[in-house]
Amino acid sequence: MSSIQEKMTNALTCKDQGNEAFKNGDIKKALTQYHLAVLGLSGLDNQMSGMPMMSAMQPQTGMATDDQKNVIKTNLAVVYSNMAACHLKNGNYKRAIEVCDTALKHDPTNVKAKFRRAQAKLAEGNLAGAEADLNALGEKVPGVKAELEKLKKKSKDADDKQRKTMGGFLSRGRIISSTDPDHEDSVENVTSASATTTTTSSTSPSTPAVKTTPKSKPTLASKINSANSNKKPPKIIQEEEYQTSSWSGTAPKIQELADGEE
Amino acid sequence: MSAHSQILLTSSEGTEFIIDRDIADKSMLLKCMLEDIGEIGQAVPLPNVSGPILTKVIEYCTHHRDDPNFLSANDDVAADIDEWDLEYCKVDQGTLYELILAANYLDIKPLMDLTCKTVANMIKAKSPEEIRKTFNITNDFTPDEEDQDWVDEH
Repeated sequence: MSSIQEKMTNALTCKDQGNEAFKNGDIKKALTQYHLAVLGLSGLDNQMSGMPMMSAMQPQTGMATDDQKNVIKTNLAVVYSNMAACHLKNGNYKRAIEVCDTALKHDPTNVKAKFRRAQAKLAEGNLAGAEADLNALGEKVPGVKAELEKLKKKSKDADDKQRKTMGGFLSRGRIISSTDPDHEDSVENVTSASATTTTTSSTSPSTPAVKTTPKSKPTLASKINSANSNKKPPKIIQEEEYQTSSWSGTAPKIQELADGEE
Repeated sequence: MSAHSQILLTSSEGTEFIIDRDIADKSMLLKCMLEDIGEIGQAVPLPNVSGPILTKVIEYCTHHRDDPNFLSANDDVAADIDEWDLEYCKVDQGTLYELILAANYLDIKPLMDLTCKTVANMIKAKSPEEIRKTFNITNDFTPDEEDQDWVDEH
């Protein structure tokens, strides 16, 4: 029966071999090694060993010290986060997000896990989620700015696409606003616009969509677009605040992210 | 990746276990791994589970292999434990705790719930003195603390 220290050393060797394979582009081998590292590391730090009756129950291995537990947790987070890098490479975004979640469970301060989760969410089209993660990291973290740029472009593309498909519908709704600009923001106008489209378009058939003022857009468009719009729904803002508050280790981790420990 | 494929596991002492893929899939830890990398091409080492405990875990997974509600089986905390499970948990305390650890490690939620429920039932309806005796806990209350009427505190 090997000691906790030996098991940790073995697992960390697997992790290093995984890093090596990842650098060489052998994603499958990297994933295998990371999984082996997880098999070795998890279960070593289990919280139940803190229960009085449990301590007597582990005669063979003894208990992990607090220091060892911290090392285990940190390394588990790194291994899961590195797994996420593999999944990102494979285009398996769903699994990437899952392992990032696991990584952050073990170590909420792991910058790379959050960064990769943002990348996976962005790739998956969850723009609001990606933005929340990126904002929680802050622009000082290398790479975040670039990802935010990508995100802006993506959300603009999505908006454009939506505008194109919804264009006909929206322009019909907007006619009343352009003919009656004084009331363009009132709720009544929005409802009447959609309800009486036929009447309005027949009364002012010559008003083309191009003429509509940008000011009038948000009323209808924001409702339809809310899923993809730049404005985050309140739920996500809360999550972001929570993450920001639990997040305190930006400065020392930045260098680590830049160096890479894939 | 066929349903008939078999997985080789090695326990902490190096004992080998050959199990069917669908049994291994009961453990979320193994399932995720097998989904990620397919056939691993070598034995899967489980350095944190001993042979006897792994045998027990495999026994549980095999019994429940065709259970359609496997993942939600023990969600209902108040529900009675089914007879086979009850019998399964009639083991000494040391084994029971190691089973909890193994269920936690291998991420087998129904087994985790079952074993924890069993411990909870060992506590239920017992006096503090009985609980201390059951779990071998030393009484560290001072006589003053002991005299306090704890129930009234709430």
